[in-house]
Amino acid sequence: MRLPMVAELNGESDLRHRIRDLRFFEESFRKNVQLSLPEGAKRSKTDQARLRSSFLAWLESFQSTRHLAEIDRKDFICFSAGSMLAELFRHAPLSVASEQGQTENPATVWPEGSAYVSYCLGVAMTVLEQEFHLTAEIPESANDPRIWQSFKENVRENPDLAIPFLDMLLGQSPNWNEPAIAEKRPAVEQKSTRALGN
Amino acid sequence: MPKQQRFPLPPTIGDLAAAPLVVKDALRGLRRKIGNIVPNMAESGISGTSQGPLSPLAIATVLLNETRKITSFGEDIARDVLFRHRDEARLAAFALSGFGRPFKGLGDHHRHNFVSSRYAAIKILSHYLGAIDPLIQEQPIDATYRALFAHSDDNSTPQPAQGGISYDHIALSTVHLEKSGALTLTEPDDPTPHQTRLIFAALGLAEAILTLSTNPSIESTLAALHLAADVVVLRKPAIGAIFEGLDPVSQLSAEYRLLAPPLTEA
Repeated sequence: MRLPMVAELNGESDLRHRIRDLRFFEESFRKNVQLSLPEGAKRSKTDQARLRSSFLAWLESFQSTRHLAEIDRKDFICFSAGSMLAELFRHAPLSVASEQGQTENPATVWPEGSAYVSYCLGVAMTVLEQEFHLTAEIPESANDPRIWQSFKENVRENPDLAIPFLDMLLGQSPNWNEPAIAEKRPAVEQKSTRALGN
Repeated sequence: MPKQQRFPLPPTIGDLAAAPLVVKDALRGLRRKIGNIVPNMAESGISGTSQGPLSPLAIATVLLNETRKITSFGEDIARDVLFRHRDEARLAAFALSGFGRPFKGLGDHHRHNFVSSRYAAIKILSHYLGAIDPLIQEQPIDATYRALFAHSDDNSTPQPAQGGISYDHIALSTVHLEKSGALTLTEPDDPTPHQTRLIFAALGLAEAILTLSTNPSIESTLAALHLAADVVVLRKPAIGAIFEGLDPVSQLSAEYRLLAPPLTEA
């Protein structure tokens, strides 16, 4: 799994605020597409209206759940990046005409999905590093074509499953049953229960 | 019994500033009416070869056609030679003439700027969103300004703090303008929501974006209007629900609070 934008995103001080700027989001997304597509990708097209729709939908979800950052900030960063990924899958702004490559890496199995994941994972990892000096290690399974095939099928049925998938890559406890309900995330429930117990 | 006024002059001395707007709007309405009339040649009795006496209807048709040619020709010259950038130039005052920032103690120039820049912005948005046959009038914009100014005096909606932004005032101004009749257009067959609402919602969003901007220019005002229009179209169902809802002002205010900061150029 390639994350070509991490170095550049890290150059942005205060990425967690910058990412809420539509122009920055559009520009960095397009750049990530250019850098992350496989060599066999002949043509790619990013539909601006769809890209903006995914941003606006994410923004709405972000604003309605941001109070949960006070319960567990790190978990909220992962959830928020996962929500962005879910909206990208829902609105599908990217289309790629590619040739079947020799190697079966995620980018050749599913170039659009790989570009979305690469972008949101890059954003989450950079914000975690800037906020907590954490360096997330991407698990080996992230390069397994079978995982990607299964993810592709699942997310087609329910785009919100992108949230626990990203949690898995970031080493955060996922909630596969109710992925879009932030209050039901394991980290949030655990801390809320602990707070009520005190 | 007082004699009825034949021409809708403003009723008080304080409203004399609106007098030129009355004349301009009357001419706009007339131009639109002339433009919409399609004389039926068969009914009017005109044929290309007939040399006989013309019926009164035929004479009226010829006169109407010639009048339309002259007004159209005159308008083209005025637009191309004299007023090429007039609408854009009027936008210069758009960002600073709204109600999103403190506005107490501002004089007649604020009122004039509000009216002329909103007129230009509505025109640009109508064109950008492909509105059919729009008629934009300045008197309702002026009436909206006076109503908002009076409203601000009764202290029911507190003015924004120095350096702050009031999304509530922007939303209130948007809803007043939408209801004012400042824009009349032929709505598409299945308008969901009405295109006029999208245009006014975009107008308010652009104002919110520019109120947050540090140094708005004509270029950034145009860019904000276009971006606001694009975003409002993408949010069409939400905008429709807001205007149909019980409290459009507070809902629109929340919408602007959500959307304006991410759309403002850093």
